[in-house]
Amino acid sequence: MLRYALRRLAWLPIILFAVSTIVFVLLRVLPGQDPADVIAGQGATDEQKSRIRADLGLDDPLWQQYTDWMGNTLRGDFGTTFEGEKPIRDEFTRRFPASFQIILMGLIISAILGIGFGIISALFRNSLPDYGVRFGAVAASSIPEFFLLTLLIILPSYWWNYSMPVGGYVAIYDEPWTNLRLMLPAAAVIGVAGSAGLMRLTRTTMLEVLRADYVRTARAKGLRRHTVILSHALRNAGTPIVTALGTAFIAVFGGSIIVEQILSIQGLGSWFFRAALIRDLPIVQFLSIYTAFIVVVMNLIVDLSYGYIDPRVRYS
Amino acid sequence: MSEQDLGLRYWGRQRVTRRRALSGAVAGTASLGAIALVGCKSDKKTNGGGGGTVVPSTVTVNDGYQDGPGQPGGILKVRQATALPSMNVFGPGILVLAQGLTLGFTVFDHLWYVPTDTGVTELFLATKIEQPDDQGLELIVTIGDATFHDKEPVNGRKVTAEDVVESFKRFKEEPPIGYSWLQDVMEDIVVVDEQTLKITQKFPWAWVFTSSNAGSPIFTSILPKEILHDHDDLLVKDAIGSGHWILNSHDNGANIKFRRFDKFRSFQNGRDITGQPFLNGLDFRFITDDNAGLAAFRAGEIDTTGFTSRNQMESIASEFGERIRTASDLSRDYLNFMLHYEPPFTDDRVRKAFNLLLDRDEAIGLISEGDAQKAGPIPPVHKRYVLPPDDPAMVEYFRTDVAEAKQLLDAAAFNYDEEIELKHSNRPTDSKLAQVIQEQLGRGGVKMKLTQEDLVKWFSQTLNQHQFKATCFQHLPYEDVDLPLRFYLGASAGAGRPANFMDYQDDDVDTAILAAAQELDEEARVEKVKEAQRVVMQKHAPMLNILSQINFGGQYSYVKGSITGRGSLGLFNRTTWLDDEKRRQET
Amino acid sequence: MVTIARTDIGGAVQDAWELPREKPWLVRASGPWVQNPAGLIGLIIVGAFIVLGLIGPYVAPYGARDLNISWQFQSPSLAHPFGATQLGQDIFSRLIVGARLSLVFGATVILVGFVPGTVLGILSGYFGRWVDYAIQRSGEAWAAFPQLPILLTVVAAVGPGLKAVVIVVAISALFGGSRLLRAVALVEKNKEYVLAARAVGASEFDLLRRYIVPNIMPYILVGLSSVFAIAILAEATLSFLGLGVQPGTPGWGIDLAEGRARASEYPHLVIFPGLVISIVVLGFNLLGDTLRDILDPRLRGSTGPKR
Repeated sequence: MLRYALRRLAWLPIILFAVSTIVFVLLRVLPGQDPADVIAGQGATDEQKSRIRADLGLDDPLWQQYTDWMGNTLRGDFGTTFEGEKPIRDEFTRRFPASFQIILMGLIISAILGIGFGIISALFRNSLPDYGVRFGAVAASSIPEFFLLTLLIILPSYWWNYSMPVGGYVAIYDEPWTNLRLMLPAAAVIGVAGSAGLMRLTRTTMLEVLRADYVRTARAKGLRRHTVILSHALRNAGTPIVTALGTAFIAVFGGSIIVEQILSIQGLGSWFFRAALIRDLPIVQFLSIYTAFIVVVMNLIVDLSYGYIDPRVRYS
Repeated sequence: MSEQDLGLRYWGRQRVTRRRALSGAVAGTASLGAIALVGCKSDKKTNGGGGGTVVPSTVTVNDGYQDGPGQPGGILKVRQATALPSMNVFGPGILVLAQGLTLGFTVFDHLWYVPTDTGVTELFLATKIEQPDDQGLELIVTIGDATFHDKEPVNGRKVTAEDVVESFKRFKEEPPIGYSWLQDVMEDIVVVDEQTLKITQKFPWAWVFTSSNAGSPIFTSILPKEILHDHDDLLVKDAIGSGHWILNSHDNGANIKFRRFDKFRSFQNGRDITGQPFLNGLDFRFITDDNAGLAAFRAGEIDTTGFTSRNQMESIASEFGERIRTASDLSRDYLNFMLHYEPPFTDDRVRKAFNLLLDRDEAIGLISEGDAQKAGPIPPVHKRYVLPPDDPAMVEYFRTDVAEAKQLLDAAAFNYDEEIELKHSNRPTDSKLAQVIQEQLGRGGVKMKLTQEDLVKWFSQTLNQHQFKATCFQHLPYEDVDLPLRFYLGASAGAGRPANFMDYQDDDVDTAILAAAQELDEEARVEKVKEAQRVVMQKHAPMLNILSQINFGGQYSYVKGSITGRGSLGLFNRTTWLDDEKRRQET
Repeated sequence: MVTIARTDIGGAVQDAWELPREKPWLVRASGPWVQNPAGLIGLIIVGAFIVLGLIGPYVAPYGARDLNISWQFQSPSLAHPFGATQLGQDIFSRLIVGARLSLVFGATVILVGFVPGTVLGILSGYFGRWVDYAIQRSGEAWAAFPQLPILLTVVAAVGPGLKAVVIVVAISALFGGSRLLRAVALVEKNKEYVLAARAVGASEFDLLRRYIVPNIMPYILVGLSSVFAIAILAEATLSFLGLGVQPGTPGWGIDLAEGRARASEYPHLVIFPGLVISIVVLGFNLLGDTLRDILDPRLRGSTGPKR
């Protein structure tokens, strides 16, 4: 098991390296608006702009910019933003809790909705609940998240004069109720959107599994229904479901950017958004690598859980 | 105490005008979205009274004490629509506008200020001004007793003339955003003694005290001299001044909290203002989405709000009844249509034709649902200086005549086949304005192609580098008359003055505008400003203003003591107080 | 037609040189439509979308850009089934005309991404080995990443606008197409009639042209529907966030974005654009799902809608 894990882990630095290099080169080489323009702003003379460019190191040869940046990053110095020259690491630490919470809550909601409804759908196969759930799943993945969120904000206001609270962030240990009130709508929207794939996959997998021989054996043995479902069927269905959870996580992760932006939540997503807009390259580079890191780690966790759930995988 | 005693020899010679106000209804506070450019979707700001079509007949003097004596205590909760990228008021870049306005009137103090509605200079830190010469080239300013906030490394020491002088000089070092009084007009500024300084101007300048000049909340804030240089790290994180609010905390430029500065100066314009500010502080709540902002107001999480339309204001007013007060007033921002001074727009007939094709009444209906007023070279909010709408020059300027426009275009051999590119930013109002202009000019056979650009790109490249054939946008709400007029001045009009956005140059226009700017006698100046407007309109200078919108706002009834007719964040929250005992306990 | 052997149900060997052929896919596929009404609905929606995308501007009751102040903010009515915007534009007409933008966008992505992807996939599946390995691994790596961060990074590189969206969605389509077609190519490669044809000496090219490609068509349709769904969602999302530059052309994402400001007073400004986007994407998803179910359950999950 350990060797299996280590083998997969070895990919992490390689991928991070590749991603960071590609992103770095793309950002600095492709013609786009000069960041110095944005930062210097109106009326800045060419001289002032060149001064800014020199300060930011944009005039150095590409390989030098790259080695400077890579050297710093490997040492844990993630640099400062173009705009305002704020240390990226500090900023990241401030914003991380909010995003983490939204994504975690979103994933949990996804999992509960997806797996729950998937099981229901499988059990009531080809009857009304099944069709309802399946249609719901497709609908959930067709409705744009921002539309759902917008409706969630305006419809209660329009119908019942009720408004959802937004803005600000309080840590969950400071004011738990306020925190939940603020985070829940965001998490709910991305949770719903991410649950669609899970729903369908759980259903399919459960169907296959429920028809399998070992399930019939278990039922013939007289085991109770829920024991059959949970410890036999679900365990075998585990692998594809875990994969789907990984996919749901990715969906939730991406969706968090949208909800953070709309609800003014000061998380990593809205940071990324703004940085992309104004071409604050250090932030974009850092967050790309962070994303890659999360993705690889998530895949690793999924792979490891295969190894755990399905012993056959470990020895392949 | 009269203006003469304070030493405002030329500038103070007007009557104190009665400020109008809605009976009992007082304004909401500005949302930063109106001021900060980047990322801003909400263009609405609100202040009370001051004109517009909703003013009833009651007229009361509104000085912040109209609701009775202020009771100390409490925190006012306000919406913040954009996060400040840093606290550094020296830039870099255009975002300094956001910092400057947010912090300019809260954390920092100034020498003086000229409110839009009165036009009367109010002395703040300055207690007296002497003008030894008749042209006002020299100003000898005496400052009163004030201290800085008690923060490292300043630790609450006294404000001296040197702090003022060094601050002005530091601001002068920064690249100007367009025109800058500090660089174009001010010759020098020196310390005379601990409480006195002397300003020398290159030429007489009537607008010297206004907020586009030496009264600017952005460019003439007073900072402690120790941190003006080599302290960028401190400047980015914190703001230390001598203003009535102390910057208490912020979350990356969002959710800013201000707290009362107990040792704020006790004088202003010859009056005793001990006890102000009454509130314990201001809490900003960062909410970018307008719908969410309204939701927060409804839930009582913020105390004031702007409304996007009269409809919305009335609906909320009927829903809340006595619990809130609403107000509307004419904004100081204005929508305009700009043509770059190149063929075919060098031909006066073409410019005139375009102006004739613009139907401002229709634009008011479409963009503002009727809640706006037509704007000439000077937006209508500046009541002292703007020509009345029935003035023949204004009537002619606002006239719409498609047939005549076509005749003029034919006479000028206008090329109808050429598509004119109209660039605009992605702010909703700009985008709507562009569509309306495209439609209206289309009636005259003019083909326009719309190109939408990201706000930052549009501002830093298209507008500031003059890279457009035609563009349209909503100007910022300038507090004075100087800036709206100045945008017509040509490049050669004065030493070091940059070309205007349109690269337009006309000697008559320059002469008229400069004559007004250098006329120190108040009454005479008003006439010259009016004349300058006439010249600008006659020449169809290629910045065709269209309308100024009416803003709508509201606040809960327990918020009392706001001064109407003023915008500027935080400045007039000094007399604001909360008529709610429980709220007053908050610190 | 190369014939090798043919048997009929009776077992008698008839023309020994006839190559057995599967029933044309059209015949195979029509049955399940009746069993899958959802798929049929999807087909209708997609059909309507394509038709409107092509002829929209000619059939819309009003011009999409016509301003009329007397219709300002009108709620849905007989004259304006979806209501009107602040500038008095008929939303129904705007949405019909806006279909064209989505159609063109989707078509661009398909041309630039999916089509090359299918070629790659067929080659990859058919010829295998290191080509296959490289392409598939890259595809997996790409698919593992969430789309929006990638979009944002590309926007930071090339600037806001549809360009960035096209690039990213096209790359997704490229890999999606290659993966899908590779799976199919592998399956087809080993089918009996292929083996048989090869035994008779038919060239590789002949095989590709006459047997594999026609049988692959339905799978391509599946891929197309996925790509369209993703493309429309991506364009709408980015336009809504303000990163998709719209030079005055009506588009669904931009209509939703503009309507949002006044939506709490006039919900119809956002409801209809949002519904239209959702329904069209739903149509593509239903269609794709049904096709997938009909054709080959093994393909399920190989090109799902991604966010």
